[in-house]
Amino acid sequence: MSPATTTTTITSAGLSVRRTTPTKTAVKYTISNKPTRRTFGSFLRIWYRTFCVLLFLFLLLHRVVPLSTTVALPLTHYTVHVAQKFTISTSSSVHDISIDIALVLAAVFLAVSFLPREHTEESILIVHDFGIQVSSTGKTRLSRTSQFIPLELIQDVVLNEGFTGFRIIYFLAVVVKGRGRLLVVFPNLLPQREILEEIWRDIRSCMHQHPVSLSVGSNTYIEESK
Amino acid sequence: MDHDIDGSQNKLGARGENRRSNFHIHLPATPSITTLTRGGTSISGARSVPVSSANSPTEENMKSDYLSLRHSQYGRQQYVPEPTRRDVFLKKNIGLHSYKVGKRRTRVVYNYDEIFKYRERVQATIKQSAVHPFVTRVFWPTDCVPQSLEPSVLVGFRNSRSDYVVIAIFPGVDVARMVDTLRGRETLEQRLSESAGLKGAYDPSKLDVIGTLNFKSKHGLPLVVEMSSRVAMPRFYTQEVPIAFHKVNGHAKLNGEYGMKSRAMPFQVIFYERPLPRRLQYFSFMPITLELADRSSFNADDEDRKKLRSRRLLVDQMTKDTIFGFPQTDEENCINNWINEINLSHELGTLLEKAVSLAAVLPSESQSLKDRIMIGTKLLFSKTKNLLSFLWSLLLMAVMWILIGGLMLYRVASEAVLMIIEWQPKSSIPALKDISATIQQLDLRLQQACYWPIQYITLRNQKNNLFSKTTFHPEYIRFYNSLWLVANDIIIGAAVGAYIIDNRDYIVSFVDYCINEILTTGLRRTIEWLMDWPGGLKLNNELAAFFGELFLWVIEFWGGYLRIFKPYLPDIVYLIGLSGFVGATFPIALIADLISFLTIQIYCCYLASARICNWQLTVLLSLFHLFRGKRRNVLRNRIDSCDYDLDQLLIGTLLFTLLTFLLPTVLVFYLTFACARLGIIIINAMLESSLALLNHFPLFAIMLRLKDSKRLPGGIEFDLVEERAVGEENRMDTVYIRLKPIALPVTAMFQQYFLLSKRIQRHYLSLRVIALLLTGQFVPIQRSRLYSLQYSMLPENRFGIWELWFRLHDFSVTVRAEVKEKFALITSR
Repeated sequence: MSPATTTTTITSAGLSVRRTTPTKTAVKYTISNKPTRRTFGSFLRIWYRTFCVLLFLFLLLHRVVPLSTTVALPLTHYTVHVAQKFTISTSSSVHDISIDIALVLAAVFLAVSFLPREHTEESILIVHDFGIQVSSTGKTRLSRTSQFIPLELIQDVVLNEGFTGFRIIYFLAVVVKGRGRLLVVFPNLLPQREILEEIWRDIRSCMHQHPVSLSVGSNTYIEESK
Repeated sequence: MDHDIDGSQNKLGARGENRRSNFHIHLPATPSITTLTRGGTSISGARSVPVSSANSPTEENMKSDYLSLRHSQYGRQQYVPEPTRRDVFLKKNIGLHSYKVGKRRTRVVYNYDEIFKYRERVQATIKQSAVHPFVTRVFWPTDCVPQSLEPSVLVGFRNSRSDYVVIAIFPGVDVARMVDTLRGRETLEQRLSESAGLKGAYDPSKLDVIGTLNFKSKHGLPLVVEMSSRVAMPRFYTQEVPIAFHKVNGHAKLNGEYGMKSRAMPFQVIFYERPLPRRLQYFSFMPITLELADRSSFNADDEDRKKLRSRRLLVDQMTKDTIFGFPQTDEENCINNWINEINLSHELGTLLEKAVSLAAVLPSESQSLKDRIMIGTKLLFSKTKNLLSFLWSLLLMAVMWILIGGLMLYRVASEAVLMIIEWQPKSSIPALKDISATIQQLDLRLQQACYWPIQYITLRNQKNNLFSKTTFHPEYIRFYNSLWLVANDIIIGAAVGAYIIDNRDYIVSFVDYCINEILTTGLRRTIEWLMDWPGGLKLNNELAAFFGELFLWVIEFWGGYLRIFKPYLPDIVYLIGLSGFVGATFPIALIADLISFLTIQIYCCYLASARICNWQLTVLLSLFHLFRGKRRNVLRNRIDSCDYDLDQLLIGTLLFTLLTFLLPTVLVFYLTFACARLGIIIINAMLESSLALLNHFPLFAIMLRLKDSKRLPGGIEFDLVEERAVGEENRMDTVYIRLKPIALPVTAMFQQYFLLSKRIQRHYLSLRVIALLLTGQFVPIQRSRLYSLQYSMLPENRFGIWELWFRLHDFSVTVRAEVKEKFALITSR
């Protein structure tokens, strides 16, 4: 009996590679550059965020209740003020526009501190006899792209060498049939060749429609020789 | 962590021996080819299938492989996969022409013909041995699993022996009856034929009863599903034995009977939620295209084309390198097949449900009073509905002829206007619509209005058709988007127009001020300042005076005309305000035109000074060459040395000095006008981009995205359901995957805007443009290019008058037929 989902994780060159296989017919590789230990940068970021949130909340409070009263009588005064605000609308609602501007600025800071992603996570899902799905996280927290390529559309999967600037990089790419298109698998992280090679073998095993190919990754489903 | 891999790899290696002895398919050893091409090294087909027993790597080999994976220092190690064996192989099997070992990398030059032959051979081997894929794939609808998990029958498509799409689950139905209903085609066909368009939408021979859910007894159906609770994952068994399974290592009982309880069959279960066609939801492999296909995005630019070409070269190279390709299949069909079936699932499921319930109800004749009342109410309701719809279509038919007449009249009139607008006496003379923004806007609106009836007819015809057909959704979005934009435009326009008319006096005085202070007096003062040593810069007095007077004359001349024009200014502003009631785009376009008209003198001065500056720079350049004893060879496009005579050299040098000293004067005048021109261009560009926003904003698409993102599919996504979610059930070999639609990303909706802004940046903010500006060359505005955004929702060639007539005629015929049908429906009972 095969074990349930097997997950193996290795870490090399700052990248953690996670291989998940519920069964032999589907493999998922997730590569992420999330640091395992807490760094000084992340420490700073946490404080920056806390500061932004606090600033925003403070300004929001200040926008509703004037500063002096906020400091002096936090709660009772606030309720009185709200009551006043609803009864005598015009005279008390004349306020300083600078607070509004500060509030907007704080909101922008808040968004800037929270929206960008700190680490990238890219993954490939290989479903045997079905297709490949390549996905990667975008620059912001909201964006995430993923693309599925059915088996019929895969011309080939190649491990290719490319030149960027003065560097030589290896990348895994799916050649998509009929579209003159290359889909690079881990476009942002570009892991080492050794990792790519392992993944590439798994992909090849998925691409071949007959049992022989599975022999690369597993050993259960093999035909009997005649 | 590392230990894990180590263990598994060892195991793999240890099992290697006995595994390899089992193969009966002997593929020729795979070549791995390292090429040094421009694109880089491509290692395609390298070590992919260690199948052939002769060439299989030994255990040590694999271990060392693994070690290298763990410990090798990237970059230091030279990457030549298994050199010796491969070289021998290449030399033997593939026409290897030369093979060099350089200092750092292996270089292989090979013969593609041989590779192609090899590839064919491999493919033939694969084809011969093509057994049924041994993974059974099931698409499982999560939204129609019965609440109580009672025994139910699964109906769906059976695409092959191992590929099922479950589209509906019917609880409490007898299997035999279900099979009768589906296989006794008559009732089904009868039911299905009611919904027109279903024919040809799917392959009826594939639709079948494919399995049972939670059934105790055995049936001859291929799929058996067990589900203990709604939260738990369903367990799948199959009764179909793929041919490939004669023996599985360790499980030797496969031959023949594959019992229900044996758990070694690998399954891929893909959960999906059925899209609701009535709500126009659907799955799509490709993102929905909001623009028309034949004018998709912009015509490729030169730079775009260059990039495309280089990428295509790389891909071509890789295509050639492919050793293992698949046998050619009917690609589009394969992909769209199951997506199409999933899209059909809901509609087909409800139809089947009706058919089944009909089959169930018919035999039982005894009805209770309650049932009879229910049926009576339903009948009454449907009769009233029929009557109402009949009256409505009668009304439609009565009005239709007036409508059609009006439309045709309108079409003829707009055709006449369009012909005038687009008339070009010569190819060099621009058409009227290329000169004026207003006329361009008019042209756009007329073309849109010509296209609407046709769009409407297409959509209406679709109404009687199947909802699951996904081809018309983009058309639907386009149609309503453009309608909504026009309505929006008119609403905003009314506000803007009212505002302009209300504040007419203020606006008139402002424009008056602009004409007086900026365009006439302001310019004059600037030029006078330039004539009089601006900022202490000592210019050539005589030349400055000459230029200044020339430009002053032009400005005065145009100022005189503007003075004549001034009394009509209130009327013009009023007219602009009025035009707001046709749409906010018209006042904007009129303002843009007005600005262009009022600043013609600046344009003229700019042209003249640019010409002079350019001439002077060119002359200076050639004289500089002469000064160095060189000259420019036009034929060879290079600089040759040349022997000049003494007098030539003397005169040339004198002229060079002279022109050099005169250059600042010319440059100052030129730069002034160039800056003014740039300012006007920027204002106009802003106005025109606001036009583009008003004309093209994907309002409807954004609304749909917020309301129901499944209506705007941007592709599909698979999510592996991992162990924690699966729980205990995953003891067998089943992988659970969730299929989710991706909503069209917002960036894709604004794709064209991104393209447009990129293009604008390339045309107006690049280094090239600055260089052009500095050398006094003309910077063109490519209006038609910028406008291509606005027309992307319209077909390239508008439909002709006759075309419209025929379509309208057909439409009237269908409406009449509908009326007759409805009449028959009313009178029948």
